[in-house]
Amino acid sequence: MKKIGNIIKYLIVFVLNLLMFFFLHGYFNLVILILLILFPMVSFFAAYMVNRRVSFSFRGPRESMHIDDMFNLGVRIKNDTLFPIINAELTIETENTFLGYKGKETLNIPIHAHTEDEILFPLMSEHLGLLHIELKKIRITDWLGIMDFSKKLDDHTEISILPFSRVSVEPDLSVVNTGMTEMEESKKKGHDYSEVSEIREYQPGDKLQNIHWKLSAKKDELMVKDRESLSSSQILMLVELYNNRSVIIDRIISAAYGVAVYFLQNQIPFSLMWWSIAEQDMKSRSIDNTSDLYEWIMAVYYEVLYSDATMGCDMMRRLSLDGSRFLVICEAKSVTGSALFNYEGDVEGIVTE
Amino acid sequence: MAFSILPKKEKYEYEPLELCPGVKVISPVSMETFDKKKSIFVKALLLAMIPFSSLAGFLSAFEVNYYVPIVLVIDILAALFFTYIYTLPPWKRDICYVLFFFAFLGSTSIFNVHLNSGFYAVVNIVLERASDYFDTTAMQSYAEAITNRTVTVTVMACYFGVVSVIVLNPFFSAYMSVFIAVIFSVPVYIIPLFFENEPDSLYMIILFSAIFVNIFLNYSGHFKEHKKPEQFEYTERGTGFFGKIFRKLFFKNFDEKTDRSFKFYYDRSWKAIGELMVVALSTVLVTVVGINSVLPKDSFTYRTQDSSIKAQIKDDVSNFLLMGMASLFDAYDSTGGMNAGQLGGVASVYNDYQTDLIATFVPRSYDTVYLKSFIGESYMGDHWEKCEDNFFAPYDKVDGDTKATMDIRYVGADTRYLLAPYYTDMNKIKNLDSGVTYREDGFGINFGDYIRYDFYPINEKGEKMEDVDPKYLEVPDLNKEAVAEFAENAGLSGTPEEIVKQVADYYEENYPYTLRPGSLPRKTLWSKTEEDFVNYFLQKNKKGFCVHFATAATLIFRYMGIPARYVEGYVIPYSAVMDGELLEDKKVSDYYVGENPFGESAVVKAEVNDSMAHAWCEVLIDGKWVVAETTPPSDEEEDYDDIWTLFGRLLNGGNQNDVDDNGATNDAGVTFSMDELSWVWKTVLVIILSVVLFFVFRFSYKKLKRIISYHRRDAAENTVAYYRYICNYMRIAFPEFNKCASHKEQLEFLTGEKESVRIDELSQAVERISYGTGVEKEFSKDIKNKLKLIFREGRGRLSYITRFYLFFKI
Repeated sequence: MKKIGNIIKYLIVFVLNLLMFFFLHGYFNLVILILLILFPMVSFFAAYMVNRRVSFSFRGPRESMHIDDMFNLGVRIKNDTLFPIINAELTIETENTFLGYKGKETLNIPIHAHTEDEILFPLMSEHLGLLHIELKKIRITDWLGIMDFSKKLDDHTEISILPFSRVSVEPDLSVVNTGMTEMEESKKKGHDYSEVSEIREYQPGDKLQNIHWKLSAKKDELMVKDRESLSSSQILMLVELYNNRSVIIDRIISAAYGVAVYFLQNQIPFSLMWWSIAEQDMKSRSIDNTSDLYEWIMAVYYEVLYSDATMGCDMMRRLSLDGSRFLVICEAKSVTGSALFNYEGDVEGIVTE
Repeated sequence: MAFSILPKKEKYEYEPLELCPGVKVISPVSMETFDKKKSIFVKALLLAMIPFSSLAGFLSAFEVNYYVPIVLVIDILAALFFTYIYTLPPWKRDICYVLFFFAFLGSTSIFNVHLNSGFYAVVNIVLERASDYFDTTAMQSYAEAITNRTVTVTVMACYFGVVSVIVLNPFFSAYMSVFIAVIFSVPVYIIPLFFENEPDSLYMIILFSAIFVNIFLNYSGHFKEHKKPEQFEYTERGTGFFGKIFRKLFFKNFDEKTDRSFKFYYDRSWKAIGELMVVALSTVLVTVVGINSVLPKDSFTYRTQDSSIKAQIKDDVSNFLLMGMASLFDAYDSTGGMNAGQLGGVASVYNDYQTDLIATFVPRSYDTVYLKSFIGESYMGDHWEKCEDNFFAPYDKVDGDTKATMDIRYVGADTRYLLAPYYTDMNKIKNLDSGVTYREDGFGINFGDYIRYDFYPINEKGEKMEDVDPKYLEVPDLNKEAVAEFAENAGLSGTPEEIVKQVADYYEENYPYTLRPGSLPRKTLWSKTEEDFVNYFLQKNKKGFCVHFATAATLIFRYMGIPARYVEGYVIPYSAVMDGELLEDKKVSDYYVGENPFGESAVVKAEVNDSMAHAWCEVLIDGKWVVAETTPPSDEEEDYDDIWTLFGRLLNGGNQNDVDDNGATNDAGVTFSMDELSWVWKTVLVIILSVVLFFVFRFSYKKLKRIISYHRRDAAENTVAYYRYICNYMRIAFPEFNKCASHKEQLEFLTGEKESVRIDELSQAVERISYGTGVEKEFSKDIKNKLKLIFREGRGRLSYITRFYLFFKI
């Protein structure tokens, strides 16, 4: 509507000048007429050239940020041409891929001639996850507001938002220690969820459940899966990737992170496990240092969250036939067991029965 | 709770926006350092360019010399000032405007002579050009008190620029209106272009650049500051009126977590505006230079060819420049109020005192010389039928021992008519320029022509006739009653000479002379009556100028049996002779033969202007047409239509020619005189009183309306209205009150959570009254009384000043 209005207004000015020219035959009006014809062309050309030559890029934090950390995100605009633009619309899509939150913004900005500018967004994330910010499109309107030129952009940036930089969780380890012996028993029964490091020939003393029967049949000799040796007191920590409207996943991950940091500081060996809906498998990662912890978080950020508060735990129980005990980080009061800790009232660390 | 003396306005706080749920923009998005000063400067420059270039271009078209840099600097300073104050809060802005007004007034009073002269200088220059263009010498000119046009035009241009900036600024600041910018700047060029004068290219470049930038900013919308201080304002899509409907219809599963989107919109960028100006200027410059090189202005011959419309209106424009606004009305010229016998169409006469003719003759007495132009023989109500007889025949054949010659040069008089002195030999009228002698069917006269009239001032040997054409005794039936009444009232009797004198005396006593008698009421859609010219004059209006007196007198004389007819022409009073020029190189004998009562005389060239155009009656006495002058003398002072002179006189405390007690004249210095300014103070007082009364009335009306709202029949409605009033009061007194989301919270706030007040019960009661039906009257009244008590207590905690303020506010 505005475009049509602009065209009409421009035509009115043109017609009025034309009438004045026909009436007065003035050189002055002749010049105006020529300018009125010329300017739209110059305007279109300017918009076209800027659209072709303008480039955009992001300038964001290089490291991961934590929840509630302030960081600046800059969108750089570089215009090589001598033409300024007063009306350009930049479309930006922001997505927290972990939580599935999306947002779309359109920025109406000027593009200055032959210069590089930056639009600064002072941001802060209240949730953890992987922020994917993408420049989708630029639409440049000419000076007269009549014609638009659009161009798709494909620049993007990703910012990882980690849990709070300081998460204070102090679990009651007495509960954990009691459970370890039973975990060992479950291993003896053959349910071992440690990772497979290699496949080798059978050696006397290897567990029967570690035999890789398929490969053995192929090779016509017994082959076994060599698992990473676990210390006898390694804790299995299952993290429920459960989310609700109050974004409890933030606290679950934060609690798991806090406990993991505590375990690392106290040199308590542990593995982090989670149920992957995409792969329909229980996944596990042994954590020996903060890098492993960081990798674990990154891996989790690519997982799909589920709405069943105890899905992971149920899957864990299903797979662990002898009812082995493990530490589950979940919504408070969703799992029965001994509470290791309570985090912010709605997340608990439970050692299952 | 904190209680303030005056209710505090909430401080503006930035509300963080979410790019997506959980990701907040914690402080305003910024792109460039917002520089208010640069922004104001750029906008002011743009604002100054338009009035400067329009006037400078206009003046350059007429090659007027003045100090261009001074005008430019003044315009820019004015634009800076007004652009800046437009960014201030309204009350500060108004104070600045008032202060500026007084400064402007003061400077105008000091420079009023320069201003006036500058304005007239420009007008005279335009008229000079018009004279050349229309090839006429009869254009008016205005007296310039100060002849240094460079200075006066500079002063005028400065004032014009400042006033233009003041007028344009609101339209620029609020709307960046293209229409106003174009209307303000382009039409002024019509005048020089009409006369084939083109403005300088430099000013064209500046003007076009400014207008194009104006167009760009108007179309883009980026010229106003946002109300919030951030550079980017944002709106959420789908929350406007149509957006909500659209969302409801097409996005039924709208998810606030994932489907929200925002639009950021920047207000203005001084850098972008500045760059646009440079681009526009460059483009226009290149274009103008390019056009000039391909088709130079001087070789553009098309501009010297008149368009068909221009050819049609050229004469009208010429008449307008000659005769002013009068040329636009009533479809006939007004020359001193006369136009060849037309009656009633002229409501008022404004003389311009410009020379209509120049008479060269030898004066022979102090008497006024009458020059006949038009003779009316039959009165037709709205005009006199032209007498086709020769001016002085057949009742006279002019002759005598005393013969005179008068050369009349037509400068501005109507060239359709002769101007014959009494008693001209009509067969000897000669056009000195063409050498053609007058025939009975006349000859053409052009402006500037000299016409020679030979006449016999005394005409003692003229042939006298006995028979009178009855038409010179005719009085229409419609007028007989009015004329008879006049004759009776005036007591007319005696000889023709006595009757003429009686009529003149009666006129002088009862019919004042005025140049503004008003026009004759004519039949219109809303007025069915049409007045007769003579009857209206004699019986109703009873005032007029020479045409009225002469027309009525003619009928009166006819009624009294004296042959009479109506005459129009010019008079040359002796004062014009005194102001005239002695022509020592002319021989008296070429202009006068015979006895001269003055004895030794000389040839005089007298200028006759439009104020000397006249109508009179002539009567036939002893077979000779003689002048019967009945028009009373005029007591009217001419109005000054020069407003600057009037204003200057006002502030000068009198006329510039006044002499004080010491004999010193009152120069152009300003001396304020309270007597002269009393009307100003009275006017200001009336305005102030009107404003005060208006606010008092508005205040009273609001109060009354509110009080009535909770004293109606329905008790429940009264309680609801009263509760609404309490809430409005509290919202203004305490901004925190706005955060109360329910009746309960509101009452808690009001009572300060007093334990003695059962908030729950009271809030439920209020809700019941607000939303329920059939509530008992007594119950409603009881709740209202409780609310009154609570409100009184709550209000008591405010300071008296706050309560006083709120009393007027709500």
